[in-house]
Amino acid sequence: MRRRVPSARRLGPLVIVAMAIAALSAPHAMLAQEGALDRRVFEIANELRCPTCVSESVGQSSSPIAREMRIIIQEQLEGGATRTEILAFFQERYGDWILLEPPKRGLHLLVWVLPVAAAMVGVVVLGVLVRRWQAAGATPVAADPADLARVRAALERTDERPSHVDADAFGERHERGA
Amino acid sequence: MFDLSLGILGSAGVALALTLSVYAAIAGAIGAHRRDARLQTSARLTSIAVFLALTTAVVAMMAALLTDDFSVKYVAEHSRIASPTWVKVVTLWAALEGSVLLWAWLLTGYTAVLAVTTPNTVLRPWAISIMHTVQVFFLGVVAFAANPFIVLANPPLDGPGANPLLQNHWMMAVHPVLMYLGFVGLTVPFAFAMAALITRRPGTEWMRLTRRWTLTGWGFLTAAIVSGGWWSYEVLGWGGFWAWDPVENVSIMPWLTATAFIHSVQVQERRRMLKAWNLLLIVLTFSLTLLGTFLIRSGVISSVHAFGDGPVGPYFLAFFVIVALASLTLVALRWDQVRDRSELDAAVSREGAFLGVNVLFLALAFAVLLGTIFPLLVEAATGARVTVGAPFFDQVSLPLWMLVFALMGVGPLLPWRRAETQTLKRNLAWMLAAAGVAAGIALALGMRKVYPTITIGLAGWNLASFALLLAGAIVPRARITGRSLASVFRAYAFEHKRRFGSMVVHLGAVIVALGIVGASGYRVDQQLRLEYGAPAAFQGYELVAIEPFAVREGGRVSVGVYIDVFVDGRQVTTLSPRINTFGDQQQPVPTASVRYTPGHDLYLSLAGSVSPDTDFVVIRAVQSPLVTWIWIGGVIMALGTAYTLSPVGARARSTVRSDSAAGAEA
Repeated sequence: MRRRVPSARRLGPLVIVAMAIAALSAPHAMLAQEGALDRRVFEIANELRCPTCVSESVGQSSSPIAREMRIIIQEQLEGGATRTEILAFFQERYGDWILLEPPKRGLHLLVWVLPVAAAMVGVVVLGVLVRRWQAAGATPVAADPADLARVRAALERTDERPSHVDADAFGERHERGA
Repeated sequence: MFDLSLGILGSAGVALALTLSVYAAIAGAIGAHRRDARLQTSARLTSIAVFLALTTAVVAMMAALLTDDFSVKYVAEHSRIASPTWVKVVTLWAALEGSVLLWAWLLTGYTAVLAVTTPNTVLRPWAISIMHTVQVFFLGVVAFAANPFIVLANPPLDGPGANPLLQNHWMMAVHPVLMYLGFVGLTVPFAFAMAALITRRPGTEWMRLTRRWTLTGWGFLTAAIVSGGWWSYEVLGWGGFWAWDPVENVSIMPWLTATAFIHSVQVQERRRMLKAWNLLLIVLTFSLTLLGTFLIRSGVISSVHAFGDGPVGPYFLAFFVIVALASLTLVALRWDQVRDRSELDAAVSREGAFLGVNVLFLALAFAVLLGTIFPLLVEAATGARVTVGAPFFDQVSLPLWMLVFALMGVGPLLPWRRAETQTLKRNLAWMLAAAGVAAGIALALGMRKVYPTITIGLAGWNLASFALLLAGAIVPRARITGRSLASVFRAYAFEHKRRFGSMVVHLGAVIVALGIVGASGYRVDQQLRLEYGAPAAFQGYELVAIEPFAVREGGRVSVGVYIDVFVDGRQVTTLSPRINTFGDQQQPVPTASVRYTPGHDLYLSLAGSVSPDTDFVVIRAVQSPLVTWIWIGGVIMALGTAYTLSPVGARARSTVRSDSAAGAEA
């Protein structure tokens, strides 16, 4: 069960080399001693941007600085700090930039307000159009008597066809009133 | 002996394809303008020649990759002798130049199929000409800005290999191809929309001709996004599937507008409304694929998935501007024809629901676009660096998603034109009851988070809606015909492929939503220190690190740890989280090991180094509830889309023929 990689070859010297390579990515020595991190750590870490990564959070990244920051969060949690205090701690050092959730003030306010404004404009425009279209639908259209006669004649002809289904332009059939 | 270099062969293929495509674009346009059938046919047949020419180039590239021909620049920069064959194959699209080549190739393939299969209409010559115009852009980029076939005077003996993150998972063979198939598929309705404007026929003809292409493109894009999520989940090592990363955002923006499009075209088909709106939507969708490519390929926005920064950014930006300006100008010139003279009987109707969902999807697309480019805009304006991350996108998009799911339950039950108040009230009562029961169960199980609980309620709402839809279609027929419910259901699913397929797609979306509720709302993320041989508890599991291992296969070195997983003292599996290193590349890739179950996944990845002289290992353990259902739901959505596209059954065929013929005359 354990040897699940069938082509696994145990390569003594390779282990050392490979582990040395793996160790290149090794974080702070501290991590090796501490190791265990609480689940609350990741909840907070997911709200912070990893400073050296490209668009990853401290919770996601496996970079050395993210690991260190997770340890700092762990220590602060153990010291009794709250989520807000920890976020403020990093904000003080790195600026607003470190917060993945843009603060709702200053220039940042724009990014919060614009989508709501756009959605509201969309709803208002749609509302105006719907009223206009309904008004257009309510206005009876003057029909040409000759046209009406043609339609009546056509309708009489179609009555001979099965009438329980009607078809749209795509040939898809729809139940009437379904 | 004449030794033909693959690089030169490839360059020649691209140059030939480009030349022919320029000819086809011009000949097609002139032929269409003068109604010259010979020129039109010539442009059509040239489409096949272009495809063959570019196929030569792709085959040359594939041959160069498979034979380790490092005289070709792209191979020298992105391939490696020791890589397994499948990695060499996918290297074709693992970096910028190759992926643009793949995009162009798929485009020429679509154009060739289009040229052969599209019925002869007034729109066809213009549509083909426009496909070629788009193609000229892509082929131009391949030929001049990002030529992968440049021949190196002094070829290296070996290359560095593909980006480690990409060769770390076989999904790399699937996801990018699906993505480009989606993007290219949505180019077809764009080309026909432009043709419709040029020929002053902005009716339903262009959308009827491209319905299959639109749905194919949408289906591929959906599958691409879901498979990309699974790739992230397996490869990035933190157990998530979506991070609102710029690359993810630019892939979902055209999906959102395309989703709005496939819904709102139905309003035009049935009610002859929204002509201009549908044209704008398809222009927007196509433009967003170009804008997105610019954003992520030019390096103006950094992303965890940006594997191919390169020189093509400005070209995509320029083409985006040209496409947007040209198509909007065209719409403006034809405004008299596209302006709606619409009538609406009632807002509470099928068309009303489609209008509403249009606004929601557009609002979503806008929020995603704004959040993605906001840091860019602020930095350009003030020089300040700002971050707009996942919490923003979650907070802004979740209310909109909830409304989308609410409408998804109501819309299909509403008849066109006007809903009967009594029926509507009865249906809504059933759905509300189901939503209440579902949310109640969630609350009883201890769920307290707002959006997850609402989503569970909406899942109940939608399931009730499916039940009502099916019951409404099947029960009366069974009663009238006296046949069994099962046989009536089979007949219904068979004869109403479009309607039934859309229900399957919606069901898939509900399943995806439930998966996201579990995986995003209730995942448990912990870092554990495991001493070899000593059990450690994690969410009802006992994890025992057994021993470290090192494996070398296919030019890849894996160092990891075997961890036995026990539940209630019984061993259920052995997981082997590892760190992979490829060749000389210094970037080690932590690779997770996952135990998949329907209820939740156990996801382990290494959080520290594995060293022979320590007696412990640090791992990151993630328990991700229901996450598998995201992939299953995605597959169901793709299958549902395929079902709507499957050939119409023999019984229905004759009716369809006569009806579409009648439609074409009208």
